[in-house]
Amino acid sequence: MCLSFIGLFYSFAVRLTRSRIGAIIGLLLTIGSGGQGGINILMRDGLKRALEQDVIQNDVTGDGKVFWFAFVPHVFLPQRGANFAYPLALLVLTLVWKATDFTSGSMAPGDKRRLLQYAAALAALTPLVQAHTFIGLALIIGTVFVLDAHKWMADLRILGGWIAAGVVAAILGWPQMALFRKHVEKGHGGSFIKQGWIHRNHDFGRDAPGLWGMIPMAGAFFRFWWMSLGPAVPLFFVALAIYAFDSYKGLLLRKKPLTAAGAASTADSASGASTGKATDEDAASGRASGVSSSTSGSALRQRNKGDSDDDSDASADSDDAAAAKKGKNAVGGTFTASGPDVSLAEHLVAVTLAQLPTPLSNVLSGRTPVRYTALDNLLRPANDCSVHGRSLDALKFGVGALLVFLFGNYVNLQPWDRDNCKLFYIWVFIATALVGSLLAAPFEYILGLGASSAGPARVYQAVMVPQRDLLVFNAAVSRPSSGSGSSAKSSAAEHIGVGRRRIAGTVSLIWLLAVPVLMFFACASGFMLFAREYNLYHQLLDEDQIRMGNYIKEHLAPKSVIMHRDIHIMPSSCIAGRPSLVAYTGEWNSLEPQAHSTSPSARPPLFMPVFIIAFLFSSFFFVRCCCRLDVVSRVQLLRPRQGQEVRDGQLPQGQRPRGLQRHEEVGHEVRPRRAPAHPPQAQAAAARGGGRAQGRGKDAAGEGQRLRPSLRP
Amino acid sequence: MMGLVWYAATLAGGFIWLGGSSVASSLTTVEILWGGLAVGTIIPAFVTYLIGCCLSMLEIQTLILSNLLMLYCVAERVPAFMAEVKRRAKRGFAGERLDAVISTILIAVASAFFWPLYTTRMIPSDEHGRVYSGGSCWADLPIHMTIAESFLTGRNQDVSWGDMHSPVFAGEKMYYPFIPDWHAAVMVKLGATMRWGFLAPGELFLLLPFHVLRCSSFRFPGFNRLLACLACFSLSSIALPHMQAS
Repeated sequence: MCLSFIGLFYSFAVRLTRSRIGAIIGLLLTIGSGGQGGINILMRDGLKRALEQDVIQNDVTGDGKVFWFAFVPHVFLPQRGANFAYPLALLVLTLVWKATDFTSGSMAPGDKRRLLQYAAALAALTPLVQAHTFIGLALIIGTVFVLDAHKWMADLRILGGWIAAGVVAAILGWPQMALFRKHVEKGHGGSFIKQGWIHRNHDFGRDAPGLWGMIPMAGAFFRFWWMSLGPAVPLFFVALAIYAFDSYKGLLLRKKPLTAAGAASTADSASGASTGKATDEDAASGRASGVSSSTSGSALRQRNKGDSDDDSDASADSDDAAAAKKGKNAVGGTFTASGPDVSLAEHLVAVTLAQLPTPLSNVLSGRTPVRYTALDNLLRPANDCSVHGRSLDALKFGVGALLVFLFGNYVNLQPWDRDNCKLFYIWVFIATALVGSLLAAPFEYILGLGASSAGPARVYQAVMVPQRDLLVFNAAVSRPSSGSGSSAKSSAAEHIGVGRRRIAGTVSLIWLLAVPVLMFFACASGFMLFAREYNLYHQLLDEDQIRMGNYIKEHLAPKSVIMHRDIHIMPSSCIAGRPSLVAYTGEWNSLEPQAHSTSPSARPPLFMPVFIIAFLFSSFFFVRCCCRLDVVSRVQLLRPRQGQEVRDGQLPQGQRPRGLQRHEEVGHEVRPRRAPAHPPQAQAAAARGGGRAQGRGKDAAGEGQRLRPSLRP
Repeated sequence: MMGLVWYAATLAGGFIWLGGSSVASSLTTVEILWGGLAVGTIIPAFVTYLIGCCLSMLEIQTLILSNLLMLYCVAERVPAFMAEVKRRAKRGFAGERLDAVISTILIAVASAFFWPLYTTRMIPSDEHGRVYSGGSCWADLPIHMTIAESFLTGRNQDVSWGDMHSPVFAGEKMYYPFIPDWHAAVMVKLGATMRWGFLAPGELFLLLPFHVLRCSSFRFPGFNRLLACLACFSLSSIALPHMQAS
């Protein structure tokens, strides 16, 4: 799984930061994360001595005072839970990042809902793999949900997706977390989880001598983390500040729509996942008009409406129309339109809504739009007009990671506080990605990688080049060049004054020289321990122990309890799997009668398998329905009267929805509210949906065939 | 051997399942590849565990039922997966190629460093049968071995949800995220050794994605075939001697 982790980390970091070099640096920072122990030992005793001990947990005293686990030697190699959970966590974060993409060219709401539900379902697999990962993901995704309020308030369908995702995560994750409840409440003398600042339990966090005392309130805290992680924590705060600054500068441009701003610079352009982009002018004009329109993705809709060569009904669901158009026109596009899709949760909601008075039902079901767009209009430029393209969104992930960091600092999730490092690593993944983009900026500036990264613009931003000029610069370098590449870059650089370019060059040079120093202090200890790990090789079990284990396996009942000496390596357990009376020092547990019983009565009661079967199948079908049941469109929930033509899902005044109804049962002209409004688009959507229809097998394919005629006006 | 075949099959199944899902169009090929491996490791462990809970045992019936269920789920997605492959083949790797190459190189470099670590720590044995490990694995792996063995031959052969027994404190319930060890137990049940049960999820499957990548390079126009082949062969050259030695 470690290779899966590396592939997914790189991909996630590129999406989050738009920086390939930054992703590589972030990966190095993660693998080499460590504090000052190794450096102190290196300075005093030399490299040979440093390579002989655990420099992540020891400083020169050798007392294990430093609080940290090295990524590979302490976490990824021995901890199988981390090995399984971290790649999945990165996949979940990638899905959430995609689902919260509301820049021009992003997906339709149906696709976003589906991504969120998939992310929730995958995240909910983690409690029984590694509970720390589940908690970390919950904190980050919860933070992103709260901070994304401006988006889902502007489009309540997205809120529905978030709610459905929350339900999926709760249904799948809660039974697993419930398994730990008793242990959390009663384990370790009732104090399994403790509250209180972790740094106060360690020598380096108890006081703040010298210069550390100049930091008000938190000198000991920062000293503790300096010893544990070196400059990684301060750099993380700097990265957050820089992303916040970028967002703020974009925000200041909200009242000054640009003519050719860097709207084309979306976060995913670097990873190549986003395609079908508007041209700069189109996107900029789309934003200029779209900022005042109601929903997210408005720029794209404006563009599609303007470009449309047909008479599509303007009141049809514009997101799907945009998606259909996008899919039709995409060259090398990776997205497909969602087509009509409704989750099981939405079905249930619709059935409930059918019982309500019509005006209320219309409002709640979205037919009468209730959208709070002012906040979205206010904050949208923080993404669109930032040099990153999605600075505000990256900042939200950073804030979520910060919350994980603070939570891990205050809440000790298990008796041994160092195990909180499993939680801190969820923070590390985002923190190192953001810091990596920061450290990569001077490289990208010198290499002239402005088209694929925000690094050059970030260097210019550091020398106070106006944001407007930076966006024009970004748009110029990312626009497909009509001439040679160098001429395009030089023309793009002309937007920046000569004086500022020289200052930027000087700044980037200083920045560049600082990078190896920072990397050394952040990674040296980690890589020292990594090198030391190759020399460690110990015997675990000898021939006698293996023979003893096999004897126990063959001759003793499986439920026999073995009493042995106080050591963790015992043949009775490692080879035979028999329970130990007490395996380790420090805790004595009262035996339960059934522990010695081998009678059938000790088997689980009957209701447990029944419960498991019910849980298994309900979970399976729920997830399946939530994620993939896109057969019935929302409008098909409504059954109009015979002979009445319903356009765009709007029922005649006074008519109430009557519940679930399949298309083929309606038997007359019904235009689905969320369906494309004309045959070519419908065919395009059907062609794109072919994959999913095939995936659902024969029934789904038949459904698609039945749908097609009724789409015709 | 069957354990490794089963694991390889679940990885391929995870790849197809994710590639045929409705979110596949939002992911790059690299993400589907590596994400599919993560999914293909964890979900099969969960499915076998839940089926095992239903039958209260980890026996051949459990594995047959769970594999049939997984086979159904994957087979259902094969048409969508093939459609996605065709769509990507038609589109080419435009925009993805550089990232695919970089991540391939990163993984190749990482595997060169990680493979010796994994192979020497995941309980290899010498000619006398002595078992070895190293570093933190020496401290941590015994408890993982204990938990996995408890599913196979010990107290937890009576598989249940919420009623598993702690192998280190007799009489106590097990409050531990044991799915990774369950995965190893399933592999051992199918014929793999405990060493391969621990080692395979670590690094063995690197051969599979690179094989897929190599095949993809011939299928997808425009992809850098030479680089993909070099990556595949270099990784194979690193991996195979170690596999033989171990």
